[in-house]
Amino acid sequence: MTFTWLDWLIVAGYLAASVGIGLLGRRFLGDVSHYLVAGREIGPYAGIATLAATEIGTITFMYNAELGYRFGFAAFAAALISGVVMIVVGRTGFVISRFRALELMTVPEFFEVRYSPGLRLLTGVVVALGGILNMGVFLKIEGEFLTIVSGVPARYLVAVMTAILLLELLYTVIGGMVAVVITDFLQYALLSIATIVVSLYAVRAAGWGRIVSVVSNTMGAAGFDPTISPKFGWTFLVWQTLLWLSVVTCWQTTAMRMFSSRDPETSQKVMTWTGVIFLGRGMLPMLWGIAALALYGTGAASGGVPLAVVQGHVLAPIDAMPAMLAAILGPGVRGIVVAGMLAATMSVNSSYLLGWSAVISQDVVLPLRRLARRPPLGPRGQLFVNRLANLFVSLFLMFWGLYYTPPGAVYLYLNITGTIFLAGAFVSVVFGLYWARASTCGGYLAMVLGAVGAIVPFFFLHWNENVTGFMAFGLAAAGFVAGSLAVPARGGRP
Amino acid sequence: MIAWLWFWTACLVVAGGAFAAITVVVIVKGGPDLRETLARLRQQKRVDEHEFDPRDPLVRSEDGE
Repeated sequence: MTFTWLDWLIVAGYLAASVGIGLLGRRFLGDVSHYLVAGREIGPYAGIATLAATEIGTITFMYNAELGYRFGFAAFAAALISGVVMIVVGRTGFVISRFRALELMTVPEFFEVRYSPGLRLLTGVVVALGGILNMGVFLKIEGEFLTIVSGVPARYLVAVMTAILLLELLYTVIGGMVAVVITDFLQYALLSIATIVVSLYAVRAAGWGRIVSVVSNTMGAAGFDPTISPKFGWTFLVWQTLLWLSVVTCWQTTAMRMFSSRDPETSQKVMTWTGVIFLGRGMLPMLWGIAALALYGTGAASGGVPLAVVQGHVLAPIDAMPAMLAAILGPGVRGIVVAGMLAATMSVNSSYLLGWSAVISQDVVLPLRRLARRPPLGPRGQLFVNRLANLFVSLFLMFWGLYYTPPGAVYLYLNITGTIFLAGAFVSVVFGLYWARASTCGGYLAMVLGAVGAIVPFFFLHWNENVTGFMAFGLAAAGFVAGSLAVPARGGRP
Repeated sequence: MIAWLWFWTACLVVAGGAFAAITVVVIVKGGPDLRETLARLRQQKRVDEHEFDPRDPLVRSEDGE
C-alpha cells in the first residue's frame, strides 16, 4: 500500500465535500430543462469549468499518457488538433451558435426539428449505442489507475469501480445538470491543480534531456514527426480534424454545455477558452507518458516500444503512468493528486451518465411513447424516466467494463466508438443547418451508413482505425448527398 | 527532427502556461459566475412554481400590476 493516512484523509475529505455539494443541486431543480440543461443559465466562467471538467477525466489522462508512451512527441499532434479545432469553432460559432439559438436539450432533438420524428428516434438509438459503448471502458481504466497509484490490491478493482459509480450516480440522479455544474467547478479546480503538480514532478523525475533522448533512441524521427509515425501519418491527421470537428459540435456532453449556456455568445466564449485548455489537456498527460517511458521503459519491445518494468512487474503502456506517479509522488502530494484524479473521474462520469441517459429518455423512450399513442409525460414523469435511464446506463457500464478490453490504444477505441454516431450526426447536422436541399432520406442514409462504416470494419473486419474513421465519415457524407438528391425535401422542408 | 522538437517544446510551453493561467482566472471569476447562475435558477424555479397563482407577488410584478 503506497497511500498513507494523510493521503486517505485528503481523498475522503474531497469525496464527502463533492457529494455533499452535488446534493445541493436538488434545491435548484424545477422542470426537466433544469435537470438536463441547468435552465440555460450558465455563465462563461462556470461554463468553461464545467465543459473542461466534463472532458478531462482520469480516462483522458490515461489514454493520453498511453499515446505519449507509445508514440512520443508525435502524439502531441492529436492534442494540437483538438485544441485548434475548438478554438476555430468557438471563434466562428460554426454549428454551436445555431444549435444554442434552437434551444435544444439533446443533439437528436435537432433531427426532429429539422427532419422528422422517426429520424430523431433512429439517431437517439445510434447516439445512445455509440455513447454507452464509448463510456463502457471508463470505469475499468479509472479503477486500474486508482488501484495502482494508491497501492490497493488489484483484486479490489471491482469494488473500486462500484464505489466510484455509486458516488457519482448519487448526486447525478438526484441533482441532474445543476448538481453536475456545481461539482464540476470544484472538480475543475482540483483536477487542474493536480495536472500542473504532476507535470512538474514528472519532468523533474525524468529530466527533460533524458525524455528527449529516450524518444529519439527508441522511436527515431517518428517519435517527433507525426506525418511519418507508423500509426499516424496524414490520414490520421485529416481524420482527427474531422473527428474533432464532429466531437466539439455534436458530442452529446459537449453540446449539452452549449445548450446550457446563457446565450449563443456565451457558448462561443466557453468553446474558445476551453479549446486553449484542451491543448494542455492533451499534451501534459502525453508528457507524463513519455516521462514514464524514460524512467521505466526497460522491458521487452512490444509494438515498437519497450514495456515498462516497475519493481519487477512488467506493465502495459497504459499502466506505466500511474505506476510512475505511485513512485515519484510523496505522501500528501499523492493524496492531493488522487483526489484531483477522482475529481476528474467523477466530473466526466456524472456528465456522461447524464448525457447518454438524456438521449435514452428524451430521444428514445419519449418518442416511442408518442408512436404508441400514449399520453405525454409530465415534468415528474420525465424526471423519473431520466433517472431510470441513469441507472440503466450505470449497470451497463459495470458489466461492459468487466467484460471488454480494447484491442489497441484506448484513445483509438474511444475515437471509433464515438464515430459510430458522430459520422452520421455531424454530416446530417452540418447539411441540415447549411444546405437548403438537405432531406430526411439523406439523414436516414447518413446515420445508417455512418454507423455501419464504423462498426463493421473495426469490430468485425479489424481494419486500421484511420481507414475505419474515413470509411464512416465518407459513407455518411455520400449517403446524405445521394439520399437528399434522390428524395428531395418537399416545400422547403425536408 | 530538431525542428519538430523545437515546435513541440514551444507548443508544450504555451499549452502548459495557458492551462495554468486559465485555471487561475476560472477559479477566481467562476465562483461569482456560479452564484449568479444559481440565483437565476432559483428565480426561474420560483416563477415556475407560482406562475398560475394570481396572488403571488412575483407573478403580479411580472404582469406590471
